[in-house]
Amino acid sequence: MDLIRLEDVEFAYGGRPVLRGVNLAVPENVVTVLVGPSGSGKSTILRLIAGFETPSRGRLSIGDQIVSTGHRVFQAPESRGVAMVFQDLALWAHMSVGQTLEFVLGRAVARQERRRRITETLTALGLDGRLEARPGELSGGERQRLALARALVTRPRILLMDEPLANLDPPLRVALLDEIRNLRQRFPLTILYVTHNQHETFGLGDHAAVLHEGRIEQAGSPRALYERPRTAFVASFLGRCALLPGTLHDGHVETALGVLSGAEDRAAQGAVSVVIRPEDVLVDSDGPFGGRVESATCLGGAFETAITGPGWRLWALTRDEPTPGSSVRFAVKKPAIVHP
Amino acid sequence: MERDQLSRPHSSRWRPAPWLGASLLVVLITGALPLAWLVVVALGDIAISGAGFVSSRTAALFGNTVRLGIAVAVLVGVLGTIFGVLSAKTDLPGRRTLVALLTLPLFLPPYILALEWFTVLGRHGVVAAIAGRTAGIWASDRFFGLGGAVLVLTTAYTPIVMHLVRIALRSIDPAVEESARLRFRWPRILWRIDMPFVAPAIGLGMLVTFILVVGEFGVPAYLRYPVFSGAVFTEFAAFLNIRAAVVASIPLMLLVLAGLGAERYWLRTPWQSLGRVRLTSLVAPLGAWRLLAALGGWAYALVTVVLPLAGLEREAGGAASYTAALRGAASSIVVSVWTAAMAATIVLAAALMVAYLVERTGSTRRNTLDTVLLLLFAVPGTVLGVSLILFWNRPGLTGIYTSVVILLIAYVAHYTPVAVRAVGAALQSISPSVEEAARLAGVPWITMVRRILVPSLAPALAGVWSLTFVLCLRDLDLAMTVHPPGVETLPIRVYTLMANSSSSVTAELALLMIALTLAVMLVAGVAVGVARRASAWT
Repeated sequence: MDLIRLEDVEFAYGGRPVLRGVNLAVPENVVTVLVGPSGSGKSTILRLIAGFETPSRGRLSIGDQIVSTGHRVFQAPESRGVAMVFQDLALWAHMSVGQTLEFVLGRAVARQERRRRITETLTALGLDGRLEARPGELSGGERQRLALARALVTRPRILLMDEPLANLDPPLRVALLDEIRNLRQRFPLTILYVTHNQHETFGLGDHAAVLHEGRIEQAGSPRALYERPRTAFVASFLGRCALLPGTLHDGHVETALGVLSGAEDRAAQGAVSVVIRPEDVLVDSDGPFGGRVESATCLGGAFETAITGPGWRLWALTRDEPTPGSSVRFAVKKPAIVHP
Repeated sequence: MERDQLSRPHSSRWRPAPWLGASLLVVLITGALPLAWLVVVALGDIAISGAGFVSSRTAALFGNTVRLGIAVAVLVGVLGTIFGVLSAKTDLPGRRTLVALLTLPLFLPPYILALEWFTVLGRHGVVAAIAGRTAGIWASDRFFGLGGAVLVLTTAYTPIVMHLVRIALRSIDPAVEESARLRFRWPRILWRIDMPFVAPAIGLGMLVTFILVVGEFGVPAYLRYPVFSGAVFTEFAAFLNIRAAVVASIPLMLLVLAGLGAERYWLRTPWQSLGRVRLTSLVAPLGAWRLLAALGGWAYALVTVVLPLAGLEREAGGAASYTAALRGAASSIVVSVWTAAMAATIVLAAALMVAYLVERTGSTRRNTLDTVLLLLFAVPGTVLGVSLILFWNRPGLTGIYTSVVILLIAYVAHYTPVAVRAVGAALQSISPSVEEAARLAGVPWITMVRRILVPSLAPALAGVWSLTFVLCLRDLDLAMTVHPPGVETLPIRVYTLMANSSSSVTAELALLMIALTLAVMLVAGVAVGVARRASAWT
């Protein structure tokens, strides 16, 4: 069941359109990752759902209730059952961990219940020994956990996360990504997670939507988006790939590289682009295609090798470092096809 | 759309509108409405009397006022830039102390500075004591008039440009200078890289100075240099002719509006730094010039700040004389302190709300409100005072007009805009997401202000309260115009005594005033430090 629905939502900042007819369904109790480049409107969608902004057109529902539509708000942010982890964390520097959580729970929650929830949340996030610490005394990872704790202690239905790991170093980011995944087992939550990072998209998302220039380009499981992108933008945004223009007929595509097979819809015809990812290129002395090594970039355990030929260039992953300028033969696995 | 699908109508606990509206109303009622009423009355009078208010006397006053404003603004621009650059960008010895010393005159009432200088340049002053009677007479003749007014007001307002230049220099990303340092020497970097960033700050400082100087009443009146603000006050206080005072305030208002217009249109978009990563500024070593620069800088500070203070101390009597002066002025000190404290508290509360409205609202509304607030601060104290009397002196409101309330209203009207600017600058550094996090948790808006914003802004709020307190404490122009019978602040008492009492008594009271201001600044410094530690990240 979809918990959040955006239907034909439009939004503009000072006359500049940011969202242009967004349709998005966020399923309940899964992690949906909203991925796209800077300025594509990802954070705006979170702010609309939180209630900080109002759509200029379209309809936004949470559960079975319409919360805002065309400049009208029916439900205040604090009544939507939504919590948010902000990109800058927005921690309250003058409050300790305990004071922060006490403050957001407020007097409306009974004292015993407050204590229980705070203890449970801090234990779940590994902050149980830091009740008296203020944000300035916490490490980067602990601050991130405090921001999460502040959001989770209110037991929201929906957790919005606006690039929460963007400013962390890679090892800490990986560790916190694991923790966020584990949190779902403890807290029944619908998470909408905004990022422009492909690793976070694939590592966290059950469901993903790619946003480009204020529109949803494609939504589905992250793996489906990666393997079967519908547009050149989705293909190239989710990972390195070569996009070779070609002509499709009878399930085959004629490209500058040669004829490639693989189109599932054999009836489709016309101009297309073929998406070839590095892991689809198998360097093999018996391969049907040939080219010249242009350059090789070390990725640690492998090399990303750029191979060129007349009118094309693609990338392959190789274990050994190839010599630039040398000839190489390769095969291509069944590629994805996108229509212009 | 199906109505039953909708949740209950938007009813939020996040309701800033009543608080913000009430604060805006305070600013409107205390200042904007009286000023608007003054304009209406003035326009009516012009319509009746035609262009009669343009006379040779008006032209002379206009010329004097503009001459004084431009002379002080130019000098302050040059000196403030030199001391700003020397103290913020170089390794000048003792630069922190020098900055503190040069800043002191800004916190003292300008007429007290005039009194200080009189003890140096007057007929029986320090110059006469050192160089003889003839030199004393020569210095005194030049002190009374334009020269003295320029000297006193330049000493008073140089810190404005100096501090704006320091702030602008500190906001420059060191990497910008380092990239030029690889190729050029420091003088060229300061001129070609830093100056374009700093120029708007210098311009702003000069304009603010011009606006303050053309509205200044105490110093030109004491030094017998006729200007418009004096004419406004004389028409009202000496001839009890409020209509004439209103008409006399028109050219002054036009001058202020010209200054404000320049600020709005030329200085609205200063050079923006593209984001600063490092916090430490680069220092340009003075090298061989270090000793000379130190001698020059310190000599200036000693002559313009320490020497006049010493002159005042020389004029004052002994301990018994101080006790007598204190006893005589005790009620004035009490009135000054409690009215300043109460006004500062009201101003702070209103400023927090209005600053929120200015900073967290649409740009069109922000610009309008910002301009109105600037006008309220820029308008000379005597003119604002006349407008308040015109507005409040009517049947049914005499309880306000004849009590200390009119003084509080005047302080709130005049100084809230400064406080709004200062609180607004601090508010800019707080991300709106800090408030949004509280909103999502269901915290009412006013609780968020109390529990999140106030503690986060505590150092700035403590500083703004102290600044407002000092501004109210030192105010003369406004207080002289509106004070009701029986309510006499310390500045009014000192100013009155300057004409009617022995110089030792006025010197003692002036020194008491300076001591009081310094004590407030000291306490404020400690309070800001405590608040900063309480709200800081570490």
